[in-house]
Amino acid sequence: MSAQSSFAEAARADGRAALVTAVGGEHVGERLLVRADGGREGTLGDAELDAEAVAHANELMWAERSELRGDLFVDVTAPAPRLLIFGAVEYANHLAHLARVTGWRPYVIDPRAQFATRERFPDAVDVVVAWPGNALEQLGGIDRATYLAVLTHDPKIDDEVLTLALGAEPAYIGAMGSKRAQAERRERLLAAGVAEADLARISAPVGLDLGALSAEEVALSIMAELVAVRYGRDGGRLSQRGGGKIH
Amino acid sequence: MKDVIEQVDDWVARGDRVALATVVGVKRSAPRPPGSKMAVNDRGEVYGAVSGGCVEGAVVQVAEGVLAGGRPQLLHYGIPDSDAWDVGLPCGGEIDVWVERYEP
Repeated sequence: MSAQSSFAEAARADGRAALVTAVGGEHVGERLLVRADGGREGTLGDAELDAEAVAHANELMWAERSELRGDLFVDVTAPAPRLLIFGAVEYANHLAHLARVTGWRPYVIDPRAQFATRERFPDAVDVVVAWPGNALEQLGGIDRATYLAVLTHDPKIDDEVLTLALGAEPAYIGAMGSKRAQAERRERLLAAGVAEADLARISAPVGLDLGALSAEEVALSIMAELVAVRYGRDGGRLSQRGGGKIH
Repeated sequence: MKDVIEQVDDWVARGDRVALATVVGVKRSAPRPPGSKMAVNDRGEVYGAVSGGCVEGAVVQVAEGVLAGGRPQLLHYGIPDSDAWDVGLPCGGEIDVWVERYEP
């Protein structure tokens, strides 16, 4: 199999990989494939150039952006981002719906079998009835393209998932809750040994400042924040940007 | 790659030879981001797009040359705003397109 056909296979299988092609210079036309697990195929014909290509590939396959770097074009294929929604609450249903519509893969997780049903969450890729630790195991853990939205309001569930999330490197950790709930959660997590600096990685309260009132609007503000985080933006108004790229 | 892979697979399955044109770089406002692809087969059929429709014709010609045994090529389309009405990209952007054979 060529590096190019392996890249096609990764795209077919909804996998994550980067195909680096020399589009200029001495090695024009040569290709090197890099997979998310570090596996490689092919060569650009020069060990130093390969090393450079691997560094670009590892960065861009997680940034999920194809880009030209000098003479090297790094083409990226990546699965749709995964959104793990903790808490089989009403907001979760609207959020799962918006996530699905925008091409994400939402999962709903809650240990309470009465609430966590397929019928209540038709847009979820899957509904997992389990405590966070077990659920994350079933879902293959947390990778750098995993987004977590914690909507439960139940300290037992919240604390477990937040502790696990802070021990990994997800793209985003968001937690819902009033000011008071946030303050209490903060105290509990600190008492449980979570470092102060790590708490800053939790985006709380979740969502952009839309003034959202209804459950649908709240879900929209969360989804909007997720999209902004994915593309490294703050989520302000385009009309008030001084210039630069809008995509 | 996901934008064209199904069509490309169908073409390959029936024995067609296929060339891929990929947007590798864009400057200013360009309609399709890097990685976007257009596939061309040796029957002259085209799938996907690399721009809003302005440079596809020229890219297809190069792709046909590649299918006929030509070397892969890096193409540049860009236009100063003053010439925008003559050639090309509606918003005065610039794009680089890499054209190569697809080897399944």
